[in-house]
Amino acid sequence: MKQSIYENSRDVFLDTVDAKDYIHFEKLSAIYDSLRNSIEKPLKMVLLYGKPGTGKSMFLSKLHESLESSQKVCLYKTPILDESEFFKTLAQDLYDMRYEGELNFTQFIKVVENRELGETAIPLILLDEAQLYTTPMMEKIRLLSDTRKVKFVIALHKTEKEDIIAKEHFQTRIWESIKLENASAAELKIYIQKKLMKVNCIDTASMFTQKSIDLIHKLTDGNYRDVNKIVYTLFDIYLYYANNNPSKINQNEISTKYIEMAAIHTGLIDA
Amino acid sequence: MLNIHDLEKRHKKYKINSMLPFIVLSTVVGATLIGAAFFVLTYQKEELVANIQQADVQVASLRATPLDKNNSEALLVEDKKPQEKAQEINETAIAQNSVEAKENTQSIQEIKKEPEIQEEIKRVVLTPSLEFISKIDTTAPKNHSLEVISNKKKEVVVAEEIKPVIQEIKVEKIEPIKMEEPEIPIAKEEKKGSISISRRDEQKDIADVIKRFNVNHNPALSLFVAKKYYQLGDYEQAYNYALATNDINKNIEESWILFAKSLVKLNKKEMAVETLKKYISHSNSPQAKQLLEEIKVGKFQ
Ligand SMILES: Nc1ncnc2c1ncn2[C@@H]1O[C@H](COP(=O)(O)OP(=O)(O)OP(=O)(O)O)[C@@H](O)[C@H]1O
Ligand SMILES: [Mg+2]
Repeated sequence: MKQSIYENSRDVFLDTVDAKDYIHFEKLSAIYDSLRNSIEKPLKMVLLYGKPGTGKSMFLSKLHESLESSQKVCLYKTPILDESEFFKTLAQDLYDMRYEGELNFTQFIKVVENRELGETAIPLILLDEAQLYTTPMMEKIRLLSDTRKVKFVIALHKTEKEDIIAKEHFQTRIWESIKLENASAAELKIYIQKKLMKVNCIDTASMFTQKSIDLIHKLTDGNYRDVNKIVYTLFDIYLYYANNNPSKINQNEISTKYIEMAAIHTGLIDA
Repeated sequence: MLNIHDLEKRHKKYKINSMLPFIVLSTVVGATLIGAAFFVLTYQKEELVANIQQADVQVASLRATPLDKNNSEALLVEDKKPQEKAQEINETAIAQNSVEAKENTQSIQEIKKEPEIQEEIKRVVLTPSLEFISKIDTTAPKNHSLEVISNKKKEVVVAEEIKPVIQEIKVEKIEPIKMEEPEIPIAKEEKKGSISISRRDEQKDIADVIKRFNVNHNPALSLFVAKKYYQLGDYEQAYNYALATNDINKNIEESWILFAKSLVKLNKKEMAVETLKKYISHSNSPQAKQLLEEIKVGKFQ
């Protein structure tokens, strides 16, 4: 039994993006609401930004999932870099139109402009990893949203070097930007425990004391991706000891030593 | 996949490495404490002698209330100033050895006024006793207990005690100075830290302004940010924010100048020239004209 609980606990922290694994907590809910609000405002494009691993992709997935039933919404997890391909995909997904050969911007925007929306909500396009689109492409996306016949939510990460929000096309009034941040220690606790509760690993969830949470927070700075890595390795270590040397396991609380070992293994501690 | 043995080894190494500063620190602190305790004890002894000496020489005339500082307090004062230390030690010595307080008050007060222990000790100890030293029979017994001294009647005995004391003072005096040395690098580090803090503050300022700008799109804010970035040598960001400023308001001369300057810095001289020409054509800005000239002749690089 002990062995499988560590295995189950471990696999919860695989780095995957799936709306069904989404965890709600207060701060995220507020951002989620403001995102939904801004979707309802005409003209604005929504920019979702934040450092890698702060949960942008997760957010988009969740947004997609929860809107899907009520309106037209398309999620592109990776950018379609070929222009013609991009417009053809949009035409297909938004309007069920198939194009043989090339479809250029001028042709496509005409199609978009001529759509009658009627009572239906503006179709929504969610673009993840948008830092990979070129500036001219972004400009075309902007022009498309100017038609008010389609709306874009764009997620991109802000690396140290290129401060994306500073880029000229995100400076204008048409952008509504929402920033995702690393988790606080309190959020981290909720994150880890809720994740474990979801798969009924209550025993392991209760092993996370404030002390262990604080240490993990210190090591990861609350970055979800790093948290996943370290906790995944942590349970891998527990799994090993459960199989090979069960006496080394204290089931009451997470061992500081094992957290540190996990941090060493994942490179968060240099040793 | 997981090599636990290797991981355990690395963890042990990591632990030792992270403990190292503490071990070093506690060793240093321990050594310091022992040194200080030794210093204080030795001092106490010699001060006692000094006081008694002084008391003998001086005419007893002043009255004072008894002093009640105890020994353990004296031990704890090792980080106080030397003057204070000497003073407390004096008091301790007096109280403990039941020398009559009224006689000693005078000397304590005098010592309080003196800034330098060394001087003070020389004055107090040496003046009256040097003559005795020369007269002393060198075969006189060496191990005089404090009780004997506290009788304070036989001047010869007192003088005998002074001799080793003076030597000890010289040795001990060096130590506190040495002990202060490790503190110097710490102080320097703090200074370094404060410099980077102020730099971080600047970044934070910028971040704050950017936040505000993102809310209200006031071109004055983006211009401010552009200028800051230019000053910091981040020409890409300066370019971005100057561009953003121009987007919102096309008529801010300073922003255009900054934009062109950033372009030059980014090795885009052509583009800078083009931009300035365009701007000049509708603004006629003399400042822009001047910059254009400077860029063209390579005066501004
Ligand atoms: N609200 C959440 N609920 C559950 N898991 C989350 C949540 N937010 C983040 N995660 C976890 O954190 C990991 C990283 O998040 P995500 O991939 O969304 O980051 P990102 O901001 O898109 O990073 P990048 O900029 O590198 O694309 C995900 O695999 C997911 O497991
Ligand atoms: Mg992502």
